Amino acid sequence: MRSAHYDILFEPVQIGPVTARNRFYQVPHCNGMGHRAPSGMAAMRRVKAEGGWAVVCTEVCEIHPSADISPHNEARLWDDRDIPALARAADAIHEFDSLAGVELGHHGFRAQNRISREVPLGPSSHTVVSYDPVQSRAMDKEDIRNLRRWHTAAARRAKQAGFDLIYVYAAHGLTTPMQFLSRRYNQRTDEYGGSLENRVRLLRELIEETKNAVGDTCAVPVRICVDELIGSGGLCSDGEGRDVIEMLAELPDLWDITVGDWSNDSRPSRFGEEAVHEEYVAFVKKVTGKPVVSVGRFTSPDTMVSQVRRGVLDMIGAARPSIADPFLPRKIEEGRLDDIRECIGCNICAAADNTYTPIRCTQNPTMGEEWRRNWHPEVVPARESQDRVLVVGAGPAGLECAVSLGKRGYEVALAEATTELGGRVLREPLLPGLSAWGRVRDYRLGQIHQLANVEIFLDSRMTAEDLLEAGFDRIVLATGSSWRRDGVGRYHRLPVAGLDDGAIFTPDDIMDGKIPAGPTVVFDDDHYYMGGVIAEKLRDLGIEVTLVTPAPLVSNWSQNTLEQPRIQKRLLDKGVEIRANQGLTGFSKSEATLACAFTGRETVLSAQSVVLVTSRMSHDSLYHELAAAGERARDAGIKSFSRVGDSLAPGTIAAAVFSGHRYAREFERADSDEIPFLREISELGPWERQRPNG
Amino acid sequence: MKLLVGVKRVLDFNVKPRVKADGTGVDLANVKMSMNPFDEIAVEAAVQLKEKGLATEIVVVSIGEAKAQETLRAALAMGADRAILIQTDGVTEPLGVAKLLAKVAKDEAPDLVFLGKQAIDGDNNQTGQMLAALLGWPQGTYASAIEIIDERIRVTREIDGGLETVDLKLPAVVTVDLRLNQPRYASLPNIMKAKSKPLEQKTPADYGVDVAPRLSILRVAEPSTRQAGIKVADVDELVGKLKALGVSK
Repeated sequence: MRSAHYDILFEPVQIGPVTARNRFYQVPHCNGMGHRAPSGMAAMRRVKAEGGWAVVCTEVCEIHPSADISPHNEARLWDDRDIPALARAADAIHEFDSLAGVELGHHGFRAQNRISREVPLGPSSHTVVSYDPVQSRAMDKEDIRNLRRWHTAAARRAKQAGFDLIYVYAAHGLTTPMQFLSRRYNQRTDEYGGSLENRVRLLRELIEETKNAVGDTCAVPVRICVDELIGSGGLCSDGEGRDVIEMLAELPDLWDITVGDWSNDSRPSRFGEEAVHEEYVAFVKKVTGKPVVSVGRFTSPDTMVSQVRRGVLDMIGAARPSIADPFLPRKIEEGRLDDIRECIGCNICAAADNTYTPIRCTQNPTMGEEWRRNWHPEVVPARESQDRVLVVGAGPAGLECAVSLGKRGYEVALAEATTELGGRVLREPLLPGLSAWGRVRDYRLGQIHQLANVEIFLDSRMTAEDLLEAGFDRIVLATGSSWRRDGVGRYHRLPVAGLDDGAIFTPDDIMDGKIPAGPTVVFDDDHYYMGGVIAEKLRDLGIEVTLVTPAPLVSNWSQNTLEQPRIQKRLLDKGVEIRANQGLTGFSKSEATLACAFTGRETVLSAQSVVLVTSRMSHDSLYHELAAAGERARDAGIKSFSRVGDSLAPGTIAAAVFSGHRYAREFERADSDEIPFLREISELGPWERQRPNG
Repeated sequence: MKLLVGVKRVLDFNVKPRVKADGTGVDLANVKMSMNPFDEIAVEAAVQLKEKGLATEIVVVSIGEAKAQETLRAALAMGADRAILIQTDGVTEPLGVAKLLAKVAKDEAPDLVFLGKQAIDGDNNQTGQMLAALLGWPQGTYASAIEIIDERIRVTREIDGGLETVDLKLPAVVTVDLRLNQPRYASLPNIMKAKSKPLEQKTPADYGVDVAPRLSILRVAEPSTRQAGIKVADVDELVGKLKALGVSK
């Protein structure tokens, strides 16, 4: 039963010729599947519709090979043969009476065209933004007419596929109409360049022509950037960003407002709170009567109500919160607020698209697996036996495993060695910027307390003998891992000699409250978040910090989570000294020896302590002891014992949650060589071809 | 010294309670149950006395359904020596429980009876007091500190006005409050070890006590949902609204 306070979120909203049944709007977002895994994409969108989002959009949909953004896997409507894949998505969304949106896009000179080999097009000639040795050519009038024709053709295909909302996309700096809007990229002297009215012309034409082509039955939303966050050199929400909205005010059927590029629109929780874009977005409803949607990592129903009541937004836009919990709207409707799985803002979802792989989510292990493994975020199959399961370790893997087994109806005992549940999702959220990651623990604790068949035992370190005597049918070892003290990682594959043990620290030490003395070198060979976070923490404590990394960038892999430039900036602003392209080869007598990653040339840095952030070692001794026990385990009635999460192999928190979840769903299955997930195999193309004479 | 500790199996404090559709009580079907938190403190108090060498045996007793065995096993895992389950299904009331505990106390002849000050399901805060009266023993309730001095116990009580210390001759009944101690956890290895400790099963009839309820519950309802407030623009509007509500003239 929902509180009347939230009724406002379930009011219908008119969007041009269509009506959304509530204010929950899943904005276009990438998912790494796109045209390469169309059923995967469709099934993922279906679960959003089932979860109550009145509007569910695809990711960006390429309209023509002149703007091919491979290897990113996005949707595609190049010709009629692409229609069935998109139709599958539209039909899936319609199954639950939601509206299906498609974000048509042409990437202009942001497209490297690696597959199509077409020369990228843009308002003027520019290098592409990536480091590909590719430049675009300036579009002439015929190119512009072609683009408008391709867009209209794609819109018609989208309508044929069954979409209700067909976008014109001018945001994130990524698409041609936005490139035309920009004085940085558009140096034209014809009627498409110069004054703002000229620079808006292409966008206006695309909107009008799309409406002419499909606007009778389809809504035409416009996704636009109102502030590029680069000051007067770009669009500003109190300058040209506002002017554009005022010029086009009632033309689109809906305004989908974005701020900055993707790394800002999807701002990680480490760098921004919920509703962070409001100051840039709030003006829009003052200058248009059309419905307005925008994002802000909204997970709090109260914040959502506030955005609507105060006239900031008409619809609550979400990408990440819908990924973490596709059923967020249903849970608000049913008064089940405590069951909401809140997005933690880690951006592991974005990392999937940036590594060209199917989307995944730390909080929601079923994300991206709806089709290929038939996993549903809210439904697990009933138990297959009366097996009693003992889960050892209550970190993310153990918690997820216990909760999912519990929901299946199994009798579960969760034994945790310490006096608190959470493991690394208890400890790591205490580090600077990571507090939202505690939601991984919060959600699972909330669930586990409601499961009468899951019993929690704290202060319960188990020995192998305990496990053999405990009388359980299945044992799951979720005992985690520890950071190494011997420097082994990518740069060193063997333990480093000559490390002065007394002054070596690891992230575990820091999280235990053991703080190094004096000037400290943080050697980051992990390249994800931990090295940077540790450097930040120590610097905040007033310690002089030098971050040494063999990579060219600090926290190099965080480029995939859209965080890297902010991380490096934050550390530099805090006065952390950064030595990139350097390996740490020794530390003794207050001297750290660094070696250039390219030449090997050594330099010496004086430091009192070193924090090694290189790699981790699994805690898997219990597993090996049980394996060594051989027959005794079988005689004790133990049908199987398995490792999950970091104790199997150290990885991300997302991987640990996935591992625990997977065990809960699959442990009854016999081992087999069968591929454990469905794949879509490309159809072979035509083979017989006419050859020219000679 | 011999110690007797009473424990009750109640709705786990982390669970969100739901009222049954017919309004006769809280829905306990398939919900997580555990030892009453104040009873954990009582068991801990007893175990600490034993660890100090001041007690030699701890007997723990519970009155409830068969599953209360799990609660008793947790107490044994914490350090109690022997358990008695007096099995009865259905609602138990403080008077009935006190009568049974009085019989057990007559059988066991403990020097001290520890009870939680109240159970978090009934919140009655009566059993300890009734037990002391039935036995004719002194009582120290809401204990936040205890000290054994010769054959007496000094109990510091948390009362509305502050702290009150009473000096009681043993045997006595003590009910414990939150700040007396931080109970240890009943760890899984200790629960496994405690399986070998004795657990006796009895019924109220074995003690000649009738535990049929004397009270009938008329109605159980959830607290009413909070209504939205209204914002007023100024003092005049506030006064106007108060008058309209009949709160002021």
